[in-house]
Amino acid sequence: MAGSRVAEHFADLETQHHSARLGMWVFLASEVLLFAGLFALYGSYYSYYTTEFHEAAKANTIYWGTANTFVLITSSLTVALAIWAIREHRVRLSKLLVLVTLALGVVFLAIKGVEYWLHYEHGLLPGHLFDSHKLHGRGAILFYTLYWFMTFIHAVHMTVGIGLMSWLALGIHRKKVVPEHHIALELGGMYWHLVDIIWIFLWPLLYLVR
Amino acid sequence: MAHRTHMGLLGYLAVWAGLLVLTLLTFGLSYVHLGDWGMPIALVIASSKGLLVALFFMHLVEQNATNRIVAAVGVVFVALLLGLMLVDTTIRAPSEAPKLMSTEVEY
Repeated sequence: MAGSRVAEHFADLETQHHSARLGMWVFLASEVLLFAGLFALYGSYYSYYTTEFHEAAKANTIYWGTANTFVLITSSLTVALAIWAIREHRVRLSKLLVLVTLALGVVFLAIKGVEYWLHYEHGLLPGHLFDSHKLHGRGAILFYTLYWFMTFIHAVHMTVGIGLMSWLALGIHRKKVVPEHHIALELGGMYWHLVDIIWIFLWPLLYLVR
Repeated sequence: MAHRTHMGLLGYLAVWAGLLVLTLLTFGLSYVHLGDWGMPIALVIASSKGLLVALFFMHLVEQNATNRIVAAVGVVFVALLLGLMLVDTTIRAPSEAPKLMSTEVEY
């Protein structure tokens, strides 16, 4: 992010930005495959324990999970608007929108924390920690083991995203991210959207299969 | 960025509204007894939402075609992984379902 200087190996700034976006897409594809491994695991066990998965999902905290879906979708809007704003030279608005995105991310993690606490209280824990009065059997244990792994890794990505948003808000504040050169904001936004897309798939599989 | 047309404020709000509608739709449908169709329908709706986010929020529509190809290839690989894995597990005979290891306890 060294001002708007073009790096030596690029013809011009626009080419440099195209290259940055392409690189980001390749990275995001690799992140998608990281989660795809977990989704494949879920898919396999779902085919063995379909009924048990449906029963297990009924015990999940559906209203909190759904609230989180609305939170993340709105946060995707705000980060997309942050890019729109900076293109419109509305720099203060852009910074505000990045901070709102960050705040929504924190809200997401807070809700997740509440859910994890509720799961702990009901014994819906991963692996051999599973200790529920209502649910029994291997299918239920597998469901909640998958649930904890998938949502935890997602939450780690969320935390990284929050860190990125903090860095970007600071960058806008210090005028390093500017209307003429805001590729960092675009890339940070792309990462955030990916985390949202992953949740868009996690939510029905972990909460709505009933 | 001189020659690409960017989406306006209303466009972003429209996409957001579409995402909210699709979310409500999935939520509502989860209360309807769709049998075996429940999961595929939910995944189709989720894919539509993902497509909206990727195309418009992530600006894939206005970026280079190369980026669209990269994204599509990523999806193809995911489909291969999930598809072939499910083909494997679903056509196994029931006796080949995962058994407990000797160190595990039956709950």
